[in-house]
Parts: sequence; structure tokens; C-alpha cells
Amino acid sequence: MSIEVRGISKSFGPTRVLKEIDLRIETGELVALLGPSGSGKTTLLRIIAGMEHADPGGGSVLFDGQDITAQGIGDRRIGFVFQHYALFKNMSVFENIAFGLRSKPWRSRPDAAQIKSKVDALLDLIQLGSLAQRYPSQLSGGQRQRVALARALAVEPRVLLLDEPFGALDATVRRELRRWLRRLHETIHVTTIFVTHDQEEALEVSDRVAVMRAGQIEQFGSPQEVYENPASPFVFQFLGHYNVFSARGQVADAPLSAGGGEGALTLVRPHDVVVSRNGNDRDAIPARVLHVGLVGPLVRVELERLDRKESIDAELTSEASKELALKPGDSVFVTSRHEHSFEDYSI
Amino acid sequence: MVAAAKRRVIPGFGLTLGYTLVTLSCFVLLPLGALAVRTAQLSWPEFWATITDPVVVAAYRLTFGASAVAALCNAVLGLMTAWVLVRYRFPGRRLLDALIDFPFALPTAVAGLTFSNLYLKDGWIGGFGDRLAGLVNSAGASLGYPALIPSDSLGWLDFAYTNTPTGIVLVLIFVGLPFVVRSVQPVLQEWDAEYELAAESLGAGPFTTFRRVIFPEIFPAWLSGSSLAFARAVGEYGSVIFIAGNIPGKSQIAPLLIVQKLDDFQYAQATAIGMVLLLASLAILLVMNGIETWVRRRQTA
Repeated sequence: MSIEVRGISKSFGPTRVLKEIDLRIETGELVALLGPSGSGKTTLLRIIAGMEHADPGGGSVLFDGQDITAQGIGDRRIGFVFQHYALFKNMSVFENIAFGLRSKPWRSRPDAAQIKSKVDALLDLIQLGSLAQRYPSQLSGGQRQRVALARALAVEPRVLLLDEPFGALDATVRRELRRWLRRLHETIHVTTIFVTHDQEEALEVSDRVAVMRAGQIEQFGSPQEVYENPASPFVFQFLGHYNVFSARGQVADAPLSAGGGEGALTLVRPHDVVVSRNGNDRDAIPARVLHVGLVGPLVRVELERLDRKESIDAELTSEASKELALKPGDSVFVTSRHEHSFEDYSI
Repeated sequence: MVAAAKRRVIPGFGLTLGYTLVTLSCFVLLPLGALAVRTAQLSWPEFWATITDPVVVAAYRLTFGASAVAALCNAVLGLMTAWVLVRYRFPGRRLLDALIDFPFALPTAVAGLTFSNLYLKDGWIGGFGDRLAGLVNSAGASLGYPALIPSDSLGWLDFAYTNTPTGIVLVLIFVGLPFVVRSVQPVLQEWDAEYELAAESLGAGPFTTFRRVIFPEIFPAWLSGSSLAFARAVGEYGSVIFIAGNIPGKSQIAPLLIVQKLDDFQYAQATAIGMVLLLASLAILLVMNGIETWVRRRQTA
């Protein structure tokens, strides 16, 4: 099932939350809507689900080329997973998953045995077979999230929509669950959209990422594409740590911006920063070491450039760091291995 | 220094517990004890004779029957009222919300008098059909027509419930309505619409969603509100005596019987009737409470 969104606009009172969004998601894709809070990603997801409606005349939603803008939630055959799961408290895990099957009109409702085998299969899929008779309040956050997913999958949705699915979980469980979601998607191949503000999550799990900002899609592409060729400084900055090597009006005292013309913004990732003891390169920026911190195989170095007193973060491999033997107060020179310049920008 | 003792939100656990126990004893346990002692002045056969007197049994039947019917009506009406007040926005909503507490504030005797007047044979509602027929005919007469309809043809629109059990039920509904509304309202207000959206996205219709998702959530509060309304109705005296007619064995409620026994200086008999009333109410409330606890435990275990 492909999903297409055409010119969707949405306002809450005077605030325009979505501004003529166009998006096309192919059958079987796993797409992340990534953006900071307030970028409109959840609203877009809820419009696709039918829980919100676009402004009158404000665009349409198509499933497989068929306009479903006017359809209600129940008719769209979507599976929706809420951030806080919204599991039915008064029902056991089994009954929660069976809810969609039992709610079918009686003519198409499966009989008890069919429901049982279907729910059991889903319980196996989420690896919670032994907890079928528990109530939601007796489960951990990660288990609840998996039950919510199984409940959504039970009705064989054409599209799976997840709103910040791992937002309320701790870091370890998050990582585990998103791998599991990736594997799950490889087995069932249902077109899936999930909303997240966590760039690592979006880049790791999805086939394509739509980076959103202030009600618009800034860039839509594969994780690699978005990461390596960011369409705007916003995308670059949102996808990870960065250093500003030069900005508008500061070109004169920013030798690293040689590639970009006047008015350009040059951004460099910490792992692309090269630190050396001698300033042979004429573009090198003189800097002072403020702090050296060890994080696993990487060494994080906090530097202050001597010309503009701005800080630069660098990530060195432990070998490079050993060779340099940096300590706070040392004078060094900074160049970049790889940099991104943006001609026309706004942050 | 040694760490301070465990902090409590309310200081002086001993003091507050003591106060609670004293209050409970003075205002609840002591009168209950006195009731039992008074009743014990009767011998067993006397006690049995008192409570199995046909007039008394009829009074019990009327009291509990009318209270149960009123509580059932309140359960339905109260749930609907709470639902409307929470789920819809309409002009006058806040006024309506404030009006719900009206039966709490109004002296019940006033309510009883008002109701009995309205439902009298020639009252506004009790004689509604006749009045309507009269109105139509006089309007016709002023336009020059003779009597348009026979003056008794709208008799089916007369709701003359004064001096009938139906009248008692009507008053008890009035008295008990706030209990259900005020119990269910907060639960509905706390309700997260996501559960409904979840049910809807799974293909459930509005009826299924209400029955399987919303209702189980409000059930404990609803049940406790209904039992309160029931308990209130069983003990209600002031309003009922005005509308009941008070014919012994027919439309006499148990609390009225108690007052009559007291007037005849039959204190022990009065307390015996009261005792049975109390035990029956207690048993019913305990059962309702048990159901409520069982449901709650299932949800949060």
C-alpha cells in the first residue's frame, strides 16, 4: 500500500502547523518522520491516520492512489501505535490483541478458535506468549509497546503508523526495540511510518527519512543521502553534532571557508575535525585545548579557536589521540577532513 | 545527628488517628450501639412479631422497591447527564452543571411538597391532559368554535402520581440524581481520548467502544454513585411523606412507620424496624462495594 499526501495544510487557530506538505511513500517502505517538537510530524501522522483533518480544501491523502481524505479512522484500515500505548486497562494482553478481531462485524468475525490461533501467533511474534493473561499494568514499558504493536497488527492493517513508539522507554530498551521493529518490518513488509525526534533512531531503522521543520519537509531521502548530502544547514545540524567553521560576514577571518563564497555557512562534524601540532597547512585554525575526554574508542576534545574564541568539538580515534598526547592548555592547529558549505541558509 | 524520623504529609499520625476514631465513635458507632441496645429490650418473639407485621413488611417492600427503581433510573439518567456535561460544549453548560447539586441544597420537604403539588390530580403535570384540553377548547371558543375536543379526551396525558408508588420513585430520583453524576463526572473528565481513537482504529464502532472500553473504566465509580443514591433513597423521609399518601400497607414507607411507632411511644418497636432497615442497607452496600473492589482489583492488579 503506497501512501501519498498532497498539499496538506493544517492550522490550529492562527498557528499553521503544516504548510502544503507533499510526500509519497512506496509500498512496503519504512519511513521516519524526523523533526524537533513543534515541527508538525505528529500532526501529519494523525492526518494520515484520520484522527485529525486537514484544513478545508487543504490537500488530500491517498492510499494506493485512492483518495481517502473523507474516510474515518475505522474505514482506513490502519494500525496505529500511540506513544503511551493506550492499551485497554481492563483487558488482558490476550484480549487487547483480540480486540480488533472481536470488533469486526459479525459476518466477517472469525470464530473463537481462529481468534485464538491468530492471537497466539502474534504473541509469538512479540515474544510474549507466556504473558497472555497478564494485564497491562503488570507489564514493563517495552512489553506494553510490543503488545500495542501486536494489537495494531491483529487486524492486518494496510498501513502501520507509530507515534514516537520508543519515546517513553529507556535507552537500552529503545535500542533493542528499534532493531526488533526493523526485523519485524523485514518479515511482514507492511508500509510503515513512524514519528521520532531521535535522529539516531530515524537513521538506523528507516528506509527513508523525512526531515521536518516548522510544518515543512526539509528533505526526504535515504538515511545515507540525508546524512551525507544534507539539503540545508538545518538538516545537517539536526542529524548530529556539528561545528560552525564560518558563517555569513565572518569569511575574512575564517580560512576554512575557502570553498564557499561570501555569505556561506561551513559546518563540520566533530569526527571530521583534524587536530595537528604544526600549522603547515595555510588554512589551519590555531586553537587551544580546553578539555580531553575519553568515551570508549573515541576521544572527545574540546578546543577553543584563538581567533574568535569559539569552541570546536573534535572526535579523535584513540590512536590519533595517543600520538598527539593532548592535554589542556596545549596549542594546536585545526583543519577539516570533510566539510559542508551552504550558500543560502537560515538556521 | 540522628536522621529525623520518617516524614509524613500530615503531622502527628497518632493525633489524627485518634481524632478520626473519636469522631467515628461519637457520630456513628455510638448511635448504632444505642439502636442495638434498644432493640434488645424486645424479646425474640416480640421482635419477630414486629418485623413480620404485614404493614411493616409492606413498608419494607415499598421502601426498598421504590429505592431500587429510583436508583436504577438515576444510574441511567445520571450517567447520561455526566456524559453530556463532560463531552459536549453548549451554552448554559456551566449553569446546568451547578444545578445538579440543587437536590443537595434544597430542603427535601420543600422538594416533596413541590412534587406532590405538581403531580396532584389537578396539578400542572398531574392534570396536564385536562388542562391542555381546556386550553385548546377555550382558545377555540375565543375564535368562535364550540368545544373542539371532549374535555376528557387527553386524560392519558394526566400524570397524577401523587399518592402512588410512582410518585415516591419520582421524588427519590430527584433526591438521588447528584450522586451518580458527581461520581462519574471526574472519571469521564480524566478519560484520555486516545483509548477511543485506538478502539476506532481497530475497527470498533461507537457502541462496541463504549461497551468494551469506556464503560468498564467508569463502572466502579458508576456503581458506587448508584449505591449512594440507593442508600440515600432508603433513608429518605422528608420529601416522600408529602407525595406518598401514607396509606398503611399500601403507600407507607418504613421511615414513616418508625416515626409513627415513636409517636405511640413504642421505642423498641421503632428501633427494631430501623435495625432491619439498617442491616438490609448494609448488606446491599457491602455487596455493591465487593463488586466494585473486585472490578478495580482486576484492572490494576
